[in-house]
Amino acid sequence: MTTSQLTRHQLDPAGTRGVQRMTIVLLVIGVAWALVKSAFQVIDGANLPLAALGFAVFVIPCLVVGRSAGVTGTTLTSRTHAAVQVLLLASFAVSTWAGWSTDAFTRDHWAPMAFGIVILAMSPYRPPREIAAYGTVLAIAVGGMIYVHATLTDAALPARASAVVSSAGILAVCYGAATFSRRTIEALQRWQARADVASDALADELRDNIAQSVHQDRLTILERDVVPFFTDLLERTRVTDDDRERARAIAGAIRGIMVADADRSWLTAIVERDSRSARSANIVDDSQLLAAGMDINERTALRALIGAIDDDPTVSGGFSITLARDDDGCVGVLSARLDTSEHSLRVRYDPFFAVMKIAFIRFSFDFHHSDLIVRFSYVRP
Amino acid sequence: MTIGLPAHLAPRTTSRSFISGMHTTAFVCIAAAMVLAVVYETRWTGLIMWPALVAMMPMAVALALAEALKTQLFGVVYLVVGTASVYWFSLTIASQIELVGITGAVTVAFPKIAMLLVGGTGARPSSGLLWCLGGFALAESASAIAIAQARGEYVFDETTFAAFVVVLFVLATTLVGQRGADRSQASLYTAAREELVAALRHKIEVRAAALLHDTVLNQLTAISASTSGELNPLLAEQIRQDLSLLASPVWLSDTEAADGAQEDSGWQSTAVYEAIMEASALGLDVDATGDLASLALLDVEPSRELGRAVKQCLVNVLAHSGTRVAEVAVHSSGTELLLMVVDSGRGFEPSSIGTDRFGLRHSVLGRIEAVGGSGQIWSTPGRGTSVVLRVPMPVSRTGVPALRSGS
Repeated sequence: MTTSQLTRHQLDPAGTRGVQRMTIVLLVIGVAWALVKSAFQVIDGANLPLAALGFAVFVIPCLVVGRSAGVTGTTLTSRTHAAVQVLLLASFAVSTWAGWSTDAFTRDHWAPMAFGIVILAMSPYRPPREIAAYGTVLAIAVGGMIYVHATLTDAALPARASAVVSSAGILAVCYGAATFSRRTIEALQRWQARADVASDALADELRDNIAQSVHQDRLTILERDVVPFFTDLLERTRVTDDDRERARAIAGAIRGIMVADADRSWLTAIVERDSRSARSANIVDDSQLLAAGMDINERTALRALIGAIDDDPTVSGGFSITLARDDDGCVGVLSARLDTSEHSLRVRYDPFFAVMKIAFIRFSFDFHHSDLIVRFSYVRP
Repeated sequence: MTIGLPAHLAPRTTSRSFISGMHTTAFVCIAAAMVLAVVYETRWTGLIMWPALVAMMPMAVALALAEALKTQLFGVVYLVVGTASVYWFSLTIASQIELVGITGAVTVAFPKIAMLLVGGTGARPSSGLLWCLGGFALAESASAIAIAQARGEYVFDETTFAAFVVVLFVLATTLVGQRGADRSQASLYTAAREELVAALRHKIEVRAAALLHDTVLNQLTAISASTSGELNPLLAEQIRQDLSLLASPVWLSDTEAADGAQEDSGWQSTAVYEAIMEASALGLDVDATGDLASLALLDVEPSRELGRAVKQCLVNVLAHSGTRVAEVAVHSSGTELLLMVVDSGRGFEPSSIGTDRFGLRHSVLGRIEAVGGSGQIWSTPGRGTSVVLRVPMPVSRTGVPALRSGS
């Protein structure tokens, strides 16, 4: 994915979590503004059914954007974004038709500000360049329609003035939103570059210590059996039947330890490590060793969620994670029982769910009668 | 995905980005006000609208300075200049056009909206709220005074008020959202750091397992398969080397230039060449073909691990294939080096290999995967074995794959 295709939400799902609330609030303001202004248009003589239809068509893209903003909602794709813009334009066309005979329409339409609000609400979920480009097209189309209407109906205000006002309202918001997203993305990328350098330095610092630790683990095994055996053999310089038998037994024991190490995935390791004594019920079911197929983003997101669950005092009876194959790759299910309300759950876990939604190709969760079930999918390379 | 900005940087960075967004919107509003003045001037020739156009110019300059410098001083300068500009603009409009019955959007709203988008300088959204409130109050006051002075009738400007409400909501929700993000960010940073350590440990454990297999397990297997009597001198020497290696504290360390290119002295200096020579010394006839010069272009670590993997493949040929002839073929695509070890021996059924057999799993595939490569094994009983190893070629500083210097 190139820099121009990145969105603020993709780069920082936890940090933009507050944006979800902002998106919903903005959409509510936009819908309320459209409703009130449509009502005034009808009072000024606009056609009621058509004005209502125009308003209804405007509500549809608002619902689409609002659903995308949720943690479990579908991702707002470029195609959906284009569809939202088309629906906005359609609602404007219907409203134009509804108020064709009223001069007030060209001076006082709800669409420019309401459309700007919808664009602002979408901006964290789409690349800045796309927000600016699609917004420009919408602004030109709206300005064009207003210009045609004002020219044909001989409105009191200059047609060009009405067109400029409508287009500028949309352009102002969409360029502002695109600038905000672009600057935030640039800041995130600068920070990530610095963090990568710091990570490399930390890895260099830790490498020798970890190597020594692993070396010591292996030496503990080797010094007990292998070193005495090899030393003795070198001194005697003769191989006996007992030596062959002993060599076979030591090799078998070492292989056994290596098999156990290889079968113990990173997921098993962190669940065992993070489990407190009172939570000994934590379980990982990964008989096919599918945890190894997760990439670094997926592992980090799941590790953070497991850490949050383990730190949560409302979790009772531990949790379980099951990984299995499905048609498209692998699917994971995390289950836990939490003595908490759904609101408290969302407050505590939404940032982690937001990261999971971005990291995995599919993510969903259910919370019913204190049972939390998190599902996630990934492609195994 | 990134793990986001750290808590101590997020408020300032978000605030600065948000202020830039507000300033961009303000620039468009000022430009729209100027265009409107021009449209009115040209459409209604009897009106004098050029002062409204001129009024916007100092405001645009002050906004540019506020955006470029983002200091408190230039925030205040923008408010002062903006107030004068809004007054001047409103006075011009109100003295020329009857405002009653006309929405503010087509008259005085644009400069006023530009004023409330002053942004401010604080790192916290609460500071932005105060700047926004100040801008809105000053703009409304200046405009109302100008309209009154022009003997016009003040009309509530719902467009500017709606813009003000939207900005307030955006700032307020950003404030609330940031608090939630602060709590989770620390957990994410911890998870990312643990992931770094776990990945590093896994890589070293894979190397340890492979080395353990290549040394101790190989010698133990050789002893168990030998006959009673004198210890084979070659085996005794290998056992001595193993004991010396295992006691060394740098057994698993990569202190010797893990990154960077090998010294360019041809493929004879590479680990793969050494592996072939060692296998030849053990009695295997190895035919090396293809783009062998590419082996010298690999970085030190991939080259070393590829050499060890090839050595294990050749040892496997000697130990299990029933043939004493093998071929090592090399091909480079510029971004990836592909190496095949082929024998026409007895072959085997890959699925029949037990999970406790580590030769291919750790010493070959594990090693190659640890340096970002991949491996595949094709074998059929009676028809030989082919092991294909792929490792990434280094990327030059210009961001393109390093080109070969010679054939």
